Amino acid sequence: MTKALPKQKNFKALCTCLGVAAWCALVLLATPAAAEGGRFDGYEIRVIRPRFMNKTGRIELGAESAVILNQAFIYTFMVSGLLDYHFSETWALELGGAYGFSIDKADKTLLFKDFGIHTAIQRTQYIASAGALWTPVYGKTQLSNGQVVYFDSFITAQVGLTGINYKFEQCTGGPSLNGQPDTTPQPAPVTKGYPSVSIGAGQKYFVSQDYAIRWEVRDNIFAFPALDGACPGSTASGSELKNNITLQIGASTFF
Amino acid sequence: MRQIPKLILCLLLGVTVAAEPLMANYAAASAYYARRDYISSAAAYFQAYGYPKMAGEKEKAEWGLAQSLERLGFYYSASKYYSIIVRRGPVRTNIFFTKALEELGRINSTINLGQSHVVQLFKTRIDPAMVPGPARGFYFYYLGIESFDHKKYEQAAAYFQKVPSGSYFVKAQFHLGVISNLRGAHSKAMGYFERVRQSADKSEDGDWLREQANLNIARVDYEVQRYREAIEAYAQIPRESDNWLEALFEASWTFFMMQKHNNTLGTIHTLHSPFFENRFFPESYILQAITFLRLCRYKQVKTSLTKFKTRYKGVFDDLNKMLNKYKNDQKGFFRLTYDYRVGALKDYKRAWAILDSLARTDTYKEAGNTIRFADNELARLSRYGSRWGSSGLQDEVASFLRNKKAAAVKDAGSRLFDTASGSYAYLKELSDQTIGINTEMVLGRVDALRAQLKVGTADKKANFIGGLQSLNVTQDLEYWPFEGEYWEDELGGYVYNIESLCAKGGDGGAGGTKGGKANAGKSAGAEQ
Repeated sequence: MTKALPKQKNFKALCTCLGVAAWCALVLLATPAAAEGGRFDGYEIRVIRPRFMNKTGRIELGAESAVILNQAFIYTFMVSGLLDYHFSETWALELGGAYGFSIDKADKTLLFKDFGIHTAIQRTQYIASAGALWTPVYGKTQLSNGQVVYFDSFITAQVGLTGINYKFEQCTGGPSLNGQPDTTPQPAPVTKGYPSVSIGAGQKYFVSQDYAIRWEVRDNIFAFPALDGACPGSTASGSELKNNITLQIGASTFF
Repeated sequence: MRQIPKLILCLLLGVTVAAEPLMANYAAASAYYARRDYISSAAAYFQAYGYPKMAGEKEKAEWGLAQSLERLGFYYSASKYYSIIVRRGPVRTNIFFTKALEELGRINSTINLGQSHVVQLFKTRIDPAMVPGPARGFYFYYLGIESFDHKKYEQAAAYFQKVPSGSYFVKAQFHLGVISNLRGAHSKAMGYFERVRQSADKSEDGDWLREQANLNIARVDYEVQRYREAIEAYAQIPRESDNWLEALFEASWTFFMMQKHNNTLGTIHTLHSPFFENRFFPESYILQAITFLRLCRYKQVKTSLTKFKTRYKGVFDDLNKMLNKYKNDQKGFFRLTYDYRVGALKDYKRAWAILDSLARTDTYKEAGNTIRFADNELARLSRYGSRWGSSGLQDEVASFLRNKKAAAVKDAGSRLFDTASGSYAYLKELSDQTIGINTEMVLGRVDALRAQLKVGTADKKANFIGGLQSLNVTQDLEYWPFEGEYWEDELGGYVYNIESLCAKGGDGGAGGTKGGKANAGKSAGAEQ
């Protein structure tokens, strides 16, 4: 028996790294859903069969763990939940929410220990969003054990609210110039919510017709006043734009 | 001197104890059996069987021996002694006849004794009234099989009708379906096959029967030109089944008769995939060629015929060599098939497709099971050497098992050789057909050739997707292009996407003939 090599159809090269995956998804925006009906008219031989995974009219409920990738001094880990309603095979409405915590990286600790520097940190505490999910690619891939797995590649655009926690650690704790302890009062920690927009791309691998493993990369963008999180007496003004790039991996089930 | 009588007494006592198994009588054997010491009881019964001390003891010991062996899981060995009892027939002195027949029926349901064994068993004609209820299925089923093999269908049907409900009932119903079909009673045959399909259990045997019933339902439907129903029945054969490719091949003919040429070619495409390079479906090339012919695609007709020649010329040569070498060596031929099956064969590479088909036959599988069960008992027998060796039981049973194996191998080898010879003749016939198709095409007598095929009228309402499935307009479909790369999950799902060129006078590959104009557009119109 001939054994087919691991391969992937539809958009041929399996995107194994996040950047390539996102790029591929974007490129494929301009490409019609390859596996949909009426395609491949130019091919002499085709496989035509009932679609393995039907999502139309189904609700998808999922959970993911997320990590923010672009933070210099902290790690932020989040747990997220999502609820999708699939209007068609290509379009869905998604509601999502994530809540998490952050821990300091060694760099941050060293900066304070060796140089007495406290860094100003924006700790993402929650993200709530709603938006549309577009699935332009339905494909399949073959694992090394010969098993064929179907997948969707999607992109999403959502709006929502991002909660940032400020601890004002930079406002105190360092030795003062005259050698006396700094007695400037440190403001109490506060969490502020900002309207945000997120765009992302990802894939769902269908373990069965009811379960999928999904992963995605999102860029959560929000604007915040420069004064937020600044120490008392700061003269900062205007607003700044912030990007939180998250990698999310989880599973979902379809009803 | 006074010590001498005591010494003699002790010596006698010692000898008696040491020779206890040899001296064992029927009563001792029964005592062992009652204590469930079947190893000792088998040895003791064997002694009593060989040296009975009174009238009737031999028969009782024979029964006890068979029972002891069966309790120890030596089913084949037990069948030897049960068979001896049954072969004596239902005479007054043969008091265990009924029970032995029941036990053999039960053993045969567990491990197949082999048809030749059972047929031999019933060489002695028995009054059916004497056959006990639980053994009636076993008895009448095999009488039916024997008659069926001799093509005495009336008699076979009569026997199969007498098989009561039980483990042989469904198999008997299946054969009744086959007989009804052979007699042309198609609806009656369908009834039997439907019953088999519904009542076959979930065991391996049940699955096999259900598949065979499905295949036969499809064949009956094909015969009576209910092509759509035939396709539905073929679609019931699961992909993992050994019969799947057979179902696909037969379905491709059904599609052809329906003028669903894209489905015909798509189904054949699976048969020609590298996954099945060792499977034997030479006729698929002929069907492919005549399908292209109906579409006036003469270049592709030539390609199909060339591919047939390329693929099967070597098979034909190696098969010829193989048949010449093993003409008088049935055992060797079975061994050859076995070597192929276990991957040890290096010779006759070009004929492996034939050996592969032989290794998938019931004949081969049955013989394989007999060898496996017999080897298993032989291996276990060696463990009882110290207990059974001195009595001669071990030698007798081992000899029986070896003979059983040898007989199974010889019988299967002979049948497999006949099948291989049939394949040789079949290939030769197909080869002649390719010459015929080529000649007719080159001479421009394409219309005449197409007329000979007598295909049905296209059913425009019946449209099929891949996998022998009807098109359901409410169903979402997925399409995958074939770009020269075979995917295992796509096998069976291919559909061609080509049109008839008859309206254009063909593709010019028939030596410049414009055959097919008379049918211009007909085939194309029938395509989905």
